[in-house]
Amino acid sequence: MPEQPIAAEAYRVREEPFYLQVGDEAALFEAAFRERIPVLLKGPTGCGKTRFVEFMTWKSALSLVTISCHEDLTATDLVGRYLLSAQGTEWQDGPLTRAVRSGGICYLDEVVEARKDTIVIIHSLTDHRRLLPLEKRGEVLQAHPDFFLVVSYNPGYQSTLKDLKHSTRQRFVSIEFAYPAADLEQRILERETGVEPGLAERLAQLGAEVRRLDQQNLLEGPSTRLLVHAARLVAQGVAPRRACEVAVVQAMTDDAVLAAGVRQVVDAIFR
Amino acid sequence: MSRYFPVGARRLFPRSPLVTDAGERGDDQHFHPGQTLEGVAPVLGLYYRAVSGRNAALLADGGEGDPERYPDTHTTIRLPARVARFVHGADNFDWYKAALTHRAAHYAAGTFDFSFAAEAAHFARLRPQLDAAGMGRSSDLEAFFTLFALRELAIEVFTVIEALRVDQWAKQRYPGLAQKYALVQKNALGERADYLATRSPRDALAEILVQASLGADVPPLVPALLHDPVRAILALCRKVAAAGARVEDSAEATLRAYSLIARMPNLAADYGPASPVELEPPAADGPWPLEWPEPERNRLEGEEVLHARFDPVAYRDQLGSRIARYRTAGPLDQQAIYRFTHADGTQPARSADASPAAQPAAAPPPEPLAHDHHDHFPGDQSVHETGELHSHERFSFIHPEWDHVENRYRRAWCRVRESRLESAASARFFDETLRAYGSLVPGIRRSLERIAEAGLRRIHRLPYGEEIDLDAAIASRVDTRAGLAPDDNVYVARQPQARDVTLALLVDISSSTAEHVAPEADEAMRAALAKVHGKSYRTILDLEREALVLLMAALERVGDTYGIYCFSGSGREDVKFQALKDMDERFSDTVAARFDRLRPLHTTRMGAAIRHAVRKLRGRESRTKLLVLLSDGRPFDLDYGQQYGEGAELEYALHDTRQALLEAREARIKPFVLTVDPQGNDYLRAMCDGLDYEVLEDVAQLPARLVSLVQGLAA
Repeated sequence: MPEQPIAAEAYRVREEPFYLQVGDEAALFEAAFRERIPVLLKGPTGCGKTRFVEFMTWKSALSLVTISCHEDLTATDLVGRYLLSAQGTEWQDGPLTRAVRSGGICYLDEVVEARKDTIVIIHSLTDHRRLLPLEKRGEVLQAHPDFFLVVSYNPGYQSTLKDLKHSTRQRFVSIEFAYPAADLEQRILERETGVEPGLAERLAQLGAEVRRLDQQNLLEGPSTRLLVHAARLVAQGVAPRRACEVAVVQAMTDDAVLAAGVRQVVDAIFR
Repeated sequence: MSRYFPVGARRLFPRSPLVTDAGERGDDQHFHPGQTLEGVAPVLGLYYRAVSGRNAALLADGGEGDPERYPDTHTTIRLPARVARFVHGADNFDWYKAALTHRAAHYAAGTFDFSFAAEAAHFARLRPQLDAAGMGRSSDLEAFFTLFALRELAIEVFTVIEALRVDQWAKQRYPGLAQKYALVQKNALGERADYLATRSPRDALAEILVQASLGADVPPLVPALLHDPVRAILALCRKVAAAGARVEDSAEATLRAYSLIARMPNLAADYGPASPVELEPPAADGPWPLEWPEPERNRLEGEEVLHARFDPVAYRDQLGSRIARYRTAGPLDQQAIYRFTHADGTQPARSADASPAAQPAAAPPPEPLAHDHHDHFPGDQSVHETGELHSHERFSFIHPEWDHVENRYRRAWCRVRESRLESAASARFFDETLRAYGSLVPGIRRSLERIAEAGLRRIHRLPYGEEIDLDAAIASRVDTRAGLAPDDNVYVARQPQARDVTLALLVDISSSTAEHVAPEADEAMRAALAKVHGKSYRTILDLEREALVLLMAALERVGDTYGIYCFSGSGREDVKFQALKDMDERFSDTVAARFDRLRPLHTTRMGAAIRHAVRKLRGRESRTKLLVLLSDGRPFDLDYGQQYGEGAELEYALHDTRQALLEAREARIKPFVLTVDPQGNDYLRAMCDGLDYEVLEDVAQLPARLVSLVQGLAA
C-alpha cells in the first residue's frame, strides 16, 4: 500500500538522527525553546546545521516545517496567495502560515538567500507579539503556543549585500557552528558510514587540510557531508582517490587550478 | 679540496649526471626539458597552503650562478626555476611536490615550535632548562643553539636531523606520497655516491649523517677510525625516524651527533683503508658530554678546521633566519598582503628623478617648456579666443573645454591622441604579479560575481508568481466566458536582471606617479617585490599596475566589458590617451605585455581624458556604465587656463574636470574619482561636490580599494 502523503505541518522526525554534540548547543536550543526565543544557526555548508535541527525536533517530539530559502522566494510564497479557481479566487496558506497555525518548529534554511523584503515579515513573529500579518486577507494570525522559529545561514559565502539586516539578526539567539575537530569528524565519519577508522582518519585529515584553503575565500571548504559521501563510496568499493575526486574535488570547485591543487592533497594522503 | 660553505649561503643544487651529460652535448634545454617552477607553482602553491596552513610565495631561485641565494623565510620559498632530474616528466613534478611537502612539514610537524620545557619522546634529556626570554633570545630554538661552541656546526647538524624527522613524518602522514618521496630521496643519494671519498674524518661523518637522513641502507665504507661513531650516528637516526618523534628528539639527537662530529679530527684525509661498517651490535647509548652550554673551544686552529662540510640536499631547505621567533599562521587577509607600506601617515619619499612639474603644488613653470607648443600665448589674448583645433589625423580627436571664468565651453580646445600602448617582448610584469598575488584572483572574481545579478524587474503574464496579474486574469476570464481557451499566464513576478556592465578605467600616468612609496619593512617581502618589479622600491605607478593586473585578471573571469586607458598630456594640443586594453580588444598576451611598457609621462590634463572616455562609453549599450578615474595628483597641465595668469590653472583645471565629470553623469555614466594624493581632500571637495570621490590615506591600499570600488559601483 502506498504511503499517504504527509501534510507539511504534520511531518515529524520518527527515528533518532545521529548527531554528535560539539558543545552546549543542544542545551542552549532547549533553553531558547522554553523561552520561545527564536534561534539562528550560523555556519558553513554541510557542517550539521540541518541535522542538528532534525535532532532537536526529534528530542522535542514536535513537527518540523522546513523552508529552503532562495532568491526568488517571496513573502507570498511564505504566507500564502490567492489562486484562481472556477468560481473566482481562493486563498491558499503558505508553509509559514501553516506552521504558525499548527505549531511546531519552522526552519528557514539559508535565510539570507531570501530577499530582504521577504524576511521582514517574520519580524512580528519573532518578538513578543508572535503575530503573522496576512496582508492580502486583512488578517492577523496569532502563533500557536508551540510555534518556534529556527533560521540558518552561512556567513561565509554570501555577499555583504545579502547580509542579514540588523533588525532581523537581533531577534535571534545565535548558535555558531564550525566544522568539527579532526577527531570528532573521524567519529562522525565512522558512525555515519561504518568505514574503518584508518580511512575515516585520513578523510578527516583531508577535510582539515583542504579547509585551510578557504581562509582567503578561495573556496568553501569541503563539508563534513562531502567527506561522508566519499566514505560511502569507498565503502561501496570505489578506490579512495577516485571517491575523493568525485565526491570532494569536483563537488567543491569548477576552477581547474583549484581542483588540481586539491587533487594534489588527495593524492598525497591516499595511495 | 677544502670547500667550505657558510651557513645560509646554500651550495647550488648539484645537477644530476643525466643532465650533465646532456649539457656536454650542448642541448640540455632540449634533451629533456623537465618541469618548470612556473608550470607547477599555481597548483603546488595551493597544495603547500593546504598542507602547511600557511601562505608563501613560491619564487624561483637565481639559479646556480646567483651569488645571492636567499634561504627560505616564513613567507617565501625558493625553488629551482626548472627541474630536469628525471627522464619522466611526472617525476620532476613529484620532485617539486616532495620539496614543498618537506617545507610544509616543518610547520605541520612543529620544527619551529621547539620548546626547552618539553621532553623528547625517545631520548633522555641532556639539555639544561633554559629560559629563552630571560636570555634575550626570541625563541627557544635560537636559545638552543647558544649551547654550542660551534653554533654553525650545530645548526647544520640540527637541520639534517630535523629534515630526517620531518621526512619520516611526512611519509607516514601522506602515504600516497611515500613512494614518490622515496624516489626523490634515492635520486639525492645517487648524486652523493662518491661524496665519501677523500674526505677528512669529520667531513666524512657529516656526509654519513646526511646520507643516513636520506634513508641510505648500505653500510658505509669508511676507515676503522669511523666505525664506532658511524654506528652511533645510525642509532641516533633510527630513533629520530621512529614514529612519534618530536622536534625535541631532533634537538637531543643534535647534542649527541654534534659531539660525535666535533670530536673527529679534521685534517688528514687519508687515515687508513676503508672497510664496511658492522651494524651489529648497535652502538651503546653514550657516554655523552654532560656539560651544556659547551665550554668555549680553543679557536686557535681557525674556523675552517673547526667546521665540517655539509653538502646540501637539493630538495630540502635551510632554516635560515627562521630559527628566530615567527608569528603563528593566521588567516591572511587581503589587506595584509597588499599593505606593503607602513600606514604611518608620512609623506611618500620623493624620487630623485621626479621632474619639478610633477610636484602638484608647484608654481607653474616661469617660461613655457620645450614641450609646450604654445609660445604664441603670452600677451595675445585674441589667439585664445579663436584657438580652435582641427583634427586631420586618424585617432586624433578634438574635445571642448570648460572655461569657468567666462562660464562657457571653449570649442574644439583639446586634441586627444589615442593610441595603444606598445607591447613588451613578454608579459613579464603581468605574469610575475599574478604569480606573486595570483591566489587573490579567485577571491576578487567571486566578489565581483556576487554582484552579478543586481536589480529586479517586474515581469507580467507568467505561469507562476507572487501576485495575480489583474489584466491577464481578466482577459483569461473573458476568454473562458467567450468559450475560448484561457491563457494560464496570469501572474506577476519580480525577477533579477542579468549583469550588464561596461567599465572604463582612466589611469593617471603623469610623471608624479614616479614617486616612491615607503619601502616594505620585511626583507623577504622586499625580495619578492624585487622579483616582480626588478628593483627594490616601488612607485605609485607600480602600485597602480599591480592593482590593474589583479583587477584585469578578475574582470576577465567575470566577463564584464572593460577598457583601461592611461592618460597624460603636454599641452592642449597633445593629450595622450593610451589604451592598455581597449573595450573592443580581447585580452591576450599582447595586452598583458603592455604593462611592461607603462612609464610615467608628462603632466595631467584630466578634463580632456574624461571627455574622451565618455565619448567611448557613449557608444556602448550597457545598462550600467562606469567611469573610474584613478589619479595621484591634481588635474594639472602646463597651459591649463594659462590665459588667466599664473596660479589660475589649478582653479581652471578643477572646474573643467568637474564639468567633464558632470557631462559623464548626464550621459548616464557613473563617474568615480579615486585619488592617492594625501593632500587631495581640499581640492577634491570643491571638484567633486555631489559626485563620488574618495581619497586613499595610504597608497598601498590602492589595489584592494580599486577592486572593492568596482564591485560597489556596479551594484
